[in-house]
Amino acid sequence: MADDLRPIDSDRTPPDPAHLEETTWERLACDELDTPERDAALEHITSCNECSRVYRALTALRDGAAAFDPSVPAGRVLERPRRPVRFWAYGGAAAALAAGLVLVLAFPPPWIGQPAVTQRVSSIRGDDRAPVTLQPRGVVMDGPRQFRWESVTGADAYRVRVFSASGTVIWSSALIPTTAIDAPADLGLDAGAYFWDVSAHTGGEPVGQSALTRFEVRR
Amino acid sequence: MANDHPDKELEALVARYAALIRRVVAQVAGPHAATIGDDVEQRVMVALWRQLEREQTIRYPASYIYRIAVRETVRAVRAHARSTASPIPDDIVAPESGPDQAVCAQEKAEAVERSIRSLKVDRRRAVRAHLAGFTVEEIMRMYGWPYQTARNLIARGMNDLRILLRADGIDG
Repeated sequence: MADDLRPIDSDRTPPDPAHLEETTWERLACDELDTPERDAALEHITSCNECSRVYRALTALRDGAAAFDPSVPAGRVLERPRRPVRFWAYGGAAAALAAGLVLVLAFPPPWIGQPAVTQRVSSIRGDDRAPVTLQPRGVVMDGPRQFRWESVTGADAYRVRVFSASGTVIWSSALIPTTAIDAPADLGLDAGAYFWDVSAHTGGEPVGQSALTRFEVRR
Repeated sequence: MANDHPDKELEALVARYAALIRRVVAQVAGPHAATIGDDVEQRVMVALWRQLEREQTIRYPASYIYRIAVRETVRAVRAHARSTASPIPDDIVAPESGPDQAVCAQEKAEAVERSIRSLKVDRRRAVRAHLAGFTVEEIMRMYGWPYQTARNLIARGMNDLRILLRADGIDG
């Protein structure tokens, strides 16, 4: 399909051997690189300031576009950790890591010091009363721990449903007033593809329904 | 779908992508974010339409637009990065810098690179991504690792790197 859809592209910038080519970016963003190609691309991205920026921009593009374009590849979005990152809780490793960081920062490569980009999700939506799903989406290791979505103005409750790949409802939550709910302990999803959605309610009446969001459980 | 009669839905999709691209370019522009103007969004929208007009038939319009959006994002980020770069000629160096210091810095950089290359594959990936400023969550996503795996690989990889550099006579 990729070849069918590749446009005639007279505007293409000349390839720069120092950076990834546009077609490589396109295939990476569409999950079309095989493993060696992807590994090589990521090796370069994590060694190149400019390509790190492009990678972050494409990650943000994918996340933002997923809110309004269902054809966007799901990608490798994993569950957000429940606790904040606390390297310093690692006891003996903490001193070693601190020393390592000091050491590397003593003669930093040029790409160190960029601000971390927090990307996740846009306010773009087709229907103002349709909730926008946040997580899970994409690949989820060991199953989702929590379902999260954006709030809808005027809604006072939400209901989450999880579907099998064949469309069977596996779980439906009670109406809840928050914009996140923990997955029940007995949800027990096997490895495979699933979908979920969330409906917004006002006074007990449904007022909006999110798009179905695909996620894939891997174990 | 013939694209010479774009419907409202397609028009809205293109407009959303153009606005989104402007935002993501601004996100990665760092201190130069304020220089991202409306013209970026306008240029992207024109580029998206121009690409669409080249195709007589689009079998999968939405995913096709996503592909074009990817391409335009790459171009926009690169163009902005290059327009805000302030190249320093090679013959201009800091007053305290001399040939000795330059050689020393170069040797250290090569030693760091050599040490990183000698790390185990996953630790090397984690260390490179960490040093490039990616967060644990971004690294998890990049390589498909669970949270604990990503965190452990970063910590152990950085520890290995420190040991290798010390063995090379480089210490912080």
